Amino acid sequence: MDGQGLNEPGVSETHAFPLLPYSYVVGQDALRRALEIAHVLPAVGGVLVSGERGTAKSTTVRAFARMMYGDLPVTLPINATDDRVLGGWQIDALMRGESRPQPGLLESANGRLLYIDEVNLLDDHVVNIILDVVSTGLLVVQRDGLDRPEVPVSFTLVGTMNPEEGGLRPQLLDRFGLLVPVRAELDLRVRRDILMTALRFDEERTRPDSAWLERGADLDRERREVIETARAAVADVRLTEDIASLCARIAAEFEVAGHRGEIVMAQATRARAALDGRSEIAPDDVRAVAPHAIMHRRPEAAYGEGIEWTDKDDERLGRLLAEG
Amino acid sequence: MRVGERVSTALACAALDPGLSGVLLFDLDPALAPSLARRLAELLAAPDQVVVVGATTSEDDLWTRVRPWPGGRAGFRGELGPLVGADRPPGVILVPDLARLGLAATRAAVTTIGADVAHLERTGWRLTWAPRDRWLATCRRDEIGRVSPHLLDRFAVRIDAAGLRPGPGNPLPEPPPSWRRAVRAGLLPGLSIGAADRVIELVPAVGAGARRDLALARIARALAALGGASVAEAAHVDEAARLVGLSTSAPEDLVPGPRATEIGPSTRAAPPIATEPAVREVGAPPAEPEALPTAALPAPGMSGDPYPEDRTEPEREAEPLRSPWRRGAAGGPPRGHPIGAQAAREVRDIALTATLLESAKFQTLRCPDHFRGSVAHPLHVRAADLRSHRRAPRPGHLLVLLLDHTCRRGWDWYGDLAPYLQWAYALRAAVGVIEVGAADAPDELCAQRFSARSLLDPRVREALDRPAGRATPLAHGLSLAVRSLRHDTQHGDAAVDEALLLVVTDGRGNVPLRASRTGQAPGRVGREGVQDALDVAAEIGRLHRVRSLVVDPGPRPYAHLTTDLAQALGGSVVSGGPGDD
Repeated sequence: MDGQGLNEPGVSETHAFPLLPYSYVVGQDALRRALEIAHVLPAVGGVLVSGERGTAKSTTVRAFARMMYGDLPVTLPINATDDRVLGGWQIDALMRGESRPQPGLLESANGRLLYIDEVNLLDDHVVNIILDVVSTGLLVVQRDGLDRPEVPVSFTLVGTMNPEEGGLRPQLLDRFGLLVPVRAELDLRVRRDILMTALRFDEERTRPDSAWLERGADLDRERREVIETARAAVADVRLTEDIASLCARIAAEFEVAGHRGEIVMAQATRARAALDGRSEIAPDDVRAVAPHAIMHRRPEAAYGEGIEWTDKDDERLGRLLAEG
Repeated sequence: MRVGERVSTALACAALDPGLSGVLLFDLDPALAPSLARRLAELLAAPDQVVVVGATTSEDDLWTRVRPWPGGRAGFRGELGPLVGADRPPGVILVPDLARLGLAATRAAVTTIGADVAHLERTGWRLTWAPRDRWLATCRRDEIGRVSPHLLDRFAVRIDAAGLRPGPGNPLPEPPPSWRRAVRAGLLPGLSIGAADRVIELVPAVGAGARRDLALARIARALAALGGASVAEAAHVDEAARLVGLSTSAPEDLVPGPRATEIGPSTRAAPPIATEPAVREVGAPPAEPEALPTAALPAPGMSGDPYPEDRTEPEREAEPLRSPWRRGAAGGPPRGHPIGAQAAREVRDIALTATLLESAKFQTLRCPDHFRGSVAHPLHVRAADLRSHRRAPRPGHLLVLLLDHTCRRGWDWYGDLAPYLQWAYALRAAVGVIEVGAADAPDELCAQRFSARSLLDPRVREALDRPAGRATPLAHGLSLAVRSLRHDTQHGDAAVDEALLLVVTDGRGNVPLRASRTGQAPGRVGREGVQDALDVAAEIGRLHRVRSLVVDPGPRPYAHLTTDLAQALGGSVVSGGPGDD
């Protein structure tokens, strides 16, 4: 097999693949906040973005990764083969008669963000591989002549999906710390802003010295500093007993399966406070993150049904918060 | 604008703007598709770069494939497939019939058309590129319901090509030289605020997020560029709307009923993640002819509605982009979806790329000078290198259980259903459950559906114990059954061997299909619900490898309804009910 065309991850990608700067993404506040929370405190787990077509889900995730890591996210396409997910051999080296191991996507994403677009379309065997690694934190590669018994890996799993094409298996659903439902913007002004921004980007991306894109990069740098500052400061945001109890009560009230929901909720409140430059968690933090931490962990959601947050749910949450 | 001129303009727009990389031609004479694809490729300055994808195209055909060594030398070599767009000018991917596009190509289309970035991670290859190929697809308007909306959404340019006829010459007028110059230059004019406002005015606020707004704006911008304008104005937007068939009288309310509720007070509710998407997406109006209150009909010579899927009965399979679940069964040819490679035990179903990859590890061992010569020579492949596809177990059996809770009335139906449940358990059949008339249904006018990998899924037991509600949307339940059965028995090469449809009902459907799909309760309960159920049942009766049984709940008025239903299904009636306990 010819070895041409193999490109190393991260090589000149910033210029090869111009992306809309994160700071220019219009709307999608909940999604952006969730991605930031997951970065500030990786213990929150990943983010699952579920929403209608054409709502800039992928654009936002890629822009976020570019802003935080200076690069495209490590991306697992839905037709990836298991050798690329787990690890195998560099094919161009093999063609030269050399044997050079090539890390798989799970290892490449270590310490970073692993992005799966159309995550609900992944084949089951790849889902199983991911679940094995995410649940143990260890990658075991013993195949194709490779023998790497235990490689510790940790990454932030971010998936986007269009629920029209089916749901996720409950085991995988639970591995996403936060779920963000996104929907199309209906406000006319916002729609116009989206339109103008997207078309402006079409024009500017062809200009190597675009001042507009440079300004976007500056704004991204500023935002990244805020997020990294929050990441450094989050250790100082202590979870009080009151907030911990509140998270536990909310999880119990909503019959959340297992304890991951309340743990994610509590961690996310810490990250949200840190992003706002606070060292104390406020009930508002709980109100903001609770729906995203529990809506996909309720019993009916375990079967891919009823993953939604209704006005009634919001009233229940409000009552719990009022009771303190 | 004449149809040839319309199609020619649309192709030029697509060639000019990579953001318009999906072109869908409605009702095009199939014989014309190749010449139109060549025209688009010529505009892109890549006349030979046309690739046809269809129903049987596999992942390996698209991404990594095996080709003979050049120069007549013996042997084969692996190379990247035609969809990998790294380091080459954009070409054209031609889809002769979008309604029959296979799973691999459909997924490729969804992940690459209009995407900023595409990724290849297959059998040792790792590539990232910005996809710029243009996809040219054709589809009959009356078959649009068979296509996934997720896939349709990727096609920004929609043109009515009915009436374009093959002839001795090129069916399209020759593009003016200025168009070719504009395409070569690739300069995109700016969009004025007035033009943006006009786009928002013309495109209904529902549909496909921002994509329809962007599509119209980009076409307007391309038209401005083709016309030599430096800024796209509102007039260009109107011109673009006329080109694709959007009405230029601003829509006051094109929002279908159920969608309108989403923008009401309950906007906080997240879009549900449903196992059965179409149950939730009831925005499609009924198929019956009905006055469309505000949408102006296209003028003569103007293209038809560019988004027929909004008004078309969904006929597509459930979850069309996913491969169906399969159960294991021994023997028979390998048919399941490839999920990897394994050492071959026989010489059929060889995974060529994986085989070459395996042999590459041993070249130095087998031929010490293999990499030393100045001219590369073919790989030394031995039998031990042979790899075959590891496929998902071949399809087994499927039980589709349609439970009409409103016919139960104290009947312990476990006894009557037991033989069929045991059949499903013994054969490890996949199970699809459709519930009609459940008390806790989110919408009493709609049936609910879920798929389970086996009978042991706890949802099956819960469904069997669900209390009854008031309405009986039997026709909708059967329509969900059609889609489920069609998906699992016909999808690609992953069909089940045998499907059993077990309908437990008294046949008294009191919700017309139209009511289920629009979410509007019928004013009067007549025979419409029953007739709709029979009509849908007749569709099931035409499916192959589906056996249908209607479990009758026992003596009652209108007992003939279950017999009528069984006849329509092409199945038989099984006696049940409390009297048989």
